[in-house]
Amino acid sequence: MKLPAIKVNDVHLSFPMLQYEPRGIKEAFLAIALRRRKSKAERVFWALKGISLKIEQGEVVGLIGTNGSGKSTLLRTIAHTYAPDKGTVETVGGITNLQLGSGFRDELTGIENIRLSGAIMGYSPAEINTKTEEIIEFSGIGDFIHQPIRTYSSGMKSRLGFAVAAVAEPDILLLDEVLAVGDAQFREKSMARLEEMVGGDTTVVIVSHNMVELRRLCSRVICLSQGKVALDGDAGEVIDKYLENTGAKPETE
Amino acid sequence: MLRLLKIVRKHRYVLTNFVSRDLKIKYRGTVAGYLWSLLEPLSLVAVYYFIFGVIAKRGEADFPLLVILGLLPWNYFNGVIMSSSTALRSNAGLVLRVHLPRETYILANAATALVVMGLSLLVIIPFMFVWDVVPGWKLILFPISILVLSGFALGLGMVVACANVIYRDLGYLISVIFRFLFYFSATIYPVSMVPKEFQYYFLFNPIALCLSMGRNGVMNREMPFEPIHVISACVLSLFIFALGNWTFPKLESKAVKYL
Repeated sequence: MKLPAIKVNDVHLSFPMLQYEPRGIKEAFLAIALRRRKSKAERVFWALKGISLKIEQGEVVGLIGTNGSGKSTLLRTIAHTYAPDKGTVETVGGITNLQLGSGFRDELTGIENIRLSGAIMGYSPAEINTKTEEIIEFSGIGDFIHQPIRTYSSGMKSRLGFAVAAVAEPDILLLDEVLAVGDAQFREKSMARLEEMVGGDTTVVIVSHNMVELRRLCSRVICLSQGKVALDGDAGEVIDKYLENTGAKPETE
Repeated sequence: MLRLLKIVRKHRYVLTNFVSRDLKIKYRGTVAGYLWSLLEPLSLVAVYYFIFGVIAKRGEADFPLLVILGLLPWNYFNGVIMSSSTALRSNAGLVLRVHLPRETYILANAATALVVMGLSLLVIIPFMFVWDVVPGWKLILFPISILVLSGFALGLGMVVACANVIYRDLGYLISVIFRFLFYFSATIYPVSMVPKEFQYYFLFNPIALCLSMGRNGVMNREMPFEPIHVISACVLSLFIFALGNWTFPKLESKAVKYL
């Protein structure tokens, strides 16, 4: 049996409800002075309410659910961005949480952004040097790569973002709604690249609303509902049930 | 506190990339960009020289040098705190996605401010020739004063970075406090201009002590303070630095939920 790459154990995570929080120092003082504060239990929103999962090394898991069901929050908790209020998250190996172009700076050129993102993702200078060519090639941006990216179209930016991530070789890859970027041609190219990554040893967790792509990539799908695991199992079955429950029509290609 | 050193060692490549990113953005257009950053302290010197030298008729001929040596370290200190206060918010995209110790963003900002100060300091070289200022062994006091100042700046910066995410009006409060601190810290005047009977108390302000120590170090002058002032500044700096290091991990996990 393979080792679990991700072990999520009874994770609870709360967010402050900002309408009840003092917006600034002045309000904070007023709230204390006037005893207007609600108790802590009333002021928080539980985004994750006791989630337990085990994902084995090399598994490709889709994460579905309605908006606000806790998918992205769970992904960020797995990436150790959020510390759970209760429960534990254990992961093995390096993690890349892919969100397109989150480290990009508009003032810098394409190349400069590639190098910066590479450094942020933890590559060594040597690795970045060898990968830069590959990234430029994959993005298909051509000579614009020497232009500041504020001159890029939004499609070009996301292509560059995907290309930077596509050369990554993490142990755990987390994808938050990044499947459908660029034009049809680039989308096909990125799906092909993802399938390549999925085929290897990488553990992948994908958050997406695109059921066609999830069916194509994942073996297992987990459906979240109001911060809890509602369904967990074979990709086809879970997606069918989810679509049935939400009353959506089966998707067509 | 060792945690910060570990971060610097482990993530130095990311740090240098952040710093060069910020410098590139600041100095876009290379040489001309750098000249702009010299123009800023020079213009301030002209203003203060006009106010103190021409209108108030106070101070000696080398007054501009004295002003630069107060202003640039002050700008560094102020810059670290101000950039820290927005460090988590302006990097929210990365903070929420990349598993990088969040101290990195603050360290990178501080390092950038340090480099900018270093580059701007070159402006004093011609002034030193003009007024025949020859530095001696006391020059060593300048880097020491910057080190003590950095302890304050980083310690405060780490607290402010988190607090500003939760209480979003903190920036206004800081700028008011810093306006006061600016005029009470011997930035644009020497300690010797402070009335004699207040000087002893005045120098317990660690920022005033640092600025005056660094300035008199470079200009090779008598030090206006006593050992007790230096000790109190060093202890306070270490304390604030330790406090920042200790609270940051606790505060940041709370703060990210407000981003």
